Amino acid sequence: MAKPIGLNGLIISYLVLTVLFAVSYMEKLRIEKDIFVSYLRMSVQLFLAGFVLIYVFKIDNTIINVIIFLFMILFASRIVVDRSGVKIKNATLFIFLSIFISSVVVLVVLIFGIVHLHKLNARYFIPLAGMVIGNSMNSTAIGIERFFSKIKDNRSKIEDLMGLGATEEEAVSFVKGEALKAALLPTFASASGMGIVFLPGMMTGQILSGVDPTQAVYYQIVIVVAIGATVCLSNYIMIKILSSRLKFYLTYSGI
Amino acid sequence: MCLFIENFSVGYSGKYTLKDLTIKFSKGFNLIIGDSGSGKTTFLKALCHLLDYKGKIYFKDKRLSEAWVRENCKLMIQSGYYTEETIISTVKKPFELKYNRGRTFDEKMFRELFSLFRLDKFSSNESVKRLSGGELQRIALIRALLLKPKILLADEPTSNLDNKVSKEVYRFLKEYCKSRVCIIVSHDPIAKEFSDKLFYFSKKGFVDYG
Repeated sequence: MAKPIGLNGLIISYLVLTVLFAVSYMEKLRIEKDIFVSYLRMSVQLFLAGFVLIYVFKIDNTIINVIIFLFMILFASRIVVDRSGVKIKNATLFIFLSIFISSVVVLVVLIFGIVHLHKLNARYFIPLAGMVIGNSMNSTAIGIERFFSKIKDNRSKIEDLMGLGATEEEAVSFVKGEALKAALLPTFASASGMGIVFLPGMMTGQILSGVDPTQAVYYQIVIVVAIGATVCLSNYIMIKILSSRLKFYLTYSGI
Repeated sequence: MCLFIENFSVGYSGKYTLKDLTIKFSKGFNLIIGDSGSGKTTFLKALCHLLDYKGKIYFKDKRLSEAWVRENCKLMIQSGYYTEETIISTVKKPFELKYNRGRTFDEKMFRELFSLFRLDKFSSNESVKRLSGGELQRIALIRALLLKPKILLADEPTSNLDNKVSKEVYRFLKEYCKSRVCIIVSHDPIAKEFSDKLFYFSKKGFVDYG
């Protein structure tokens, strides 16, 4: 078991935040309020998550687990739309579908094929889903932003190809590749630095809580591969859906 | 053979540039002139299904589907063309597209047009980066012409060309359009000399037959 941190430890940890406030104050960044709000939000959200997880793990009902899973994807989709600044109709729905389909496919293999569970056990399902969805969220935000900014930059070339008979997907194929690459690269870069540049959060957590490092490594490899697959699949599906609606965006979205 | 457009409305972001337009184009060289901002370019783009529109389009009395348009209607836009590395790969690119797979690249026609439009100082393997705006425009026109569509749309195809070359282009188009419906938007006075029919688009969005 990990050595408990306790309230004193937590208070000392918060005191470390003074470094951020000091730099902001000395360099006149005027982001003290942002720092305060961000860390307050983080703390409240994590305490709440911990509180909810205690009950979710205790009840461990499949329907409740699935509802939580859907809520996580819905939240992630909303964050992607806000963060990417993309203003298109039904964006949340398309991102939701992309993350949902890709994470279901990967989680089914992960939970039933690799971890060999017989049901959606909350203790495994929720954290694993969280990691997969969280990474998909970060990458689809990059993917969707890059896709539309590239369309904007290359609008006349895309129209030229469509004018010569290209389908919407053919017309954006040269843009699609760039958006996909931009979305996937951070995930691969992070995978290649693991173990040498840094120890991933999940593995560190497991080792600190007393798990045999070999098992921690196995879990970490499995989750990193799962994240790579979900990130790739969710961006691929999202860009496929968006490409098929290109004409609509060219007409109505002011691209 | 004619193209009949009925109750046609189109515009961007919910604002109509053209509203309830009904117009008929016959086989031959149809020239559209008019005020800038009157919707000529938008009209061509919508006809070619680059934009969503309201209304009905018939060709030989048959209502057109999007797939039919992609296959049989080709548009040469005014500028900002898609290019590949070389002249020849740029010209051949459309033949790789799904709706053009039934077409074969007419090498002889390419050579003839290349020389007619005064591009023969270049080799067909020349990099497109070496071309001027006017030269690239002629390549784009050749690329559309080689597809031999049933309906050809062209937006200011000679805006970067000198009078001599413009004349060659329109002389060729006059012949080329005898077997198809061509709708050409142009402010070039030379175009008028060669056109079969003239249409006028005004800023208010209606059409006058000239």
